[in-house]
Amino acid sequence: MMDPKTVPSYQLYNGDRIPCIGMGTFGSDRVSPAEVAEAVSGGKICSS
Amino acid sequence: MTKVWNDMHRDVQSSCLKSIQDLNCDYIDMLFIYWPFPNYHAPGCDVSSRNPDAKRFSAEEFTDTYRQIEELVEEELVEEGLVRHIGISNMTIRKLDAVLGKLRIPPSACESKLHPTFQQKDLCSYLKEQNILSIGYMPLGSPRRPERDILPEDVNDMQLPVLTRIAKAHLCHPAIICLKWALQKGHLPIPFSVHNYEANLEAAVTEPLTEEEMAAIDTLECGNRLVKGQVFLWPGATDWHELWDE
Repeated sequence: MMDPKTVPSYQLYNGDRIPCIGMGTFGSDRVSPAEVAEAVSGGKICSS
Repeated sequence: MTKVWNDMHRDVQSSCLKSIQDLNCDYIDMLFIYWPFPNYHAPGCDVSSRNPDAKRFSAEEFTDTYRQIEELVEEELVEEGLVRHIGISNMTIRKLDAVLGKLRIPPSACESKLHPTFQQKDLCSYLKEQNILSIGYMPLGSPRRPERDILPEDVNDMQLPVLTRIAKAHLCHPAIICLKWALQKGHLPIPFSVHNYEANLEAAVTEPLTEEEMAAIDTLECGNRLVKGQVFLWPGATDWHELWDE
């Protein structure tokens, strides 16, 4: 598994930094809310 | 990061608290206004569906919604705030011109549709000048968007010969090329991901595209707006172009 800390980041106007790529989660007709929730949960664990 | 849905513009704090509870976190890094107007439509509705209460964009309505998020950010100054940064979405230069001067806290980022056949170059330049980060949604051209949003004239970015040729040269899928292009443009792409997100992260750290490859992808712009947003139209509106000030 790739270390999320190796992902480059952008600097926001106040100096805070944000990873340069994110995970889209907008409601899909083809993917269930449960699957999206699971992916969000995984993303949250990776970034914490 | 999460959004204030367009039926919650008059009660942003409740929306934010609900998100914090759902996400099981203490605060929101960046809270977005999902649409610049509060025109609600039901999930999965047809493109011909209209909300009779829908209204055209109003700088006053927008800044009132935005002000409510500013208050959630400013709380941080006196105690633990609920929101760290403010994001906006689906804006146009005309709408930005109408509201930016009225805001106390600048937006940190703006989410827009951005992919090789829909690059919104003027909007991105404007945002850069304002020090607002461009977040690109639908960065792959959304080939799995709902059937109701697919028209015969739509272009499928990832099937274009320029992209398949470059993908072959880099031994990867055209999706990865779309992400590399976005990153090298200074966008923050957010591909929909439920399974293969590690490959997306790797796109950011593996070999970049050459100047020639970037230039070739730049030529793919053709105004290919894949989801028009018809469901947000208000009574009396002409057509979806009016949503985008076109």
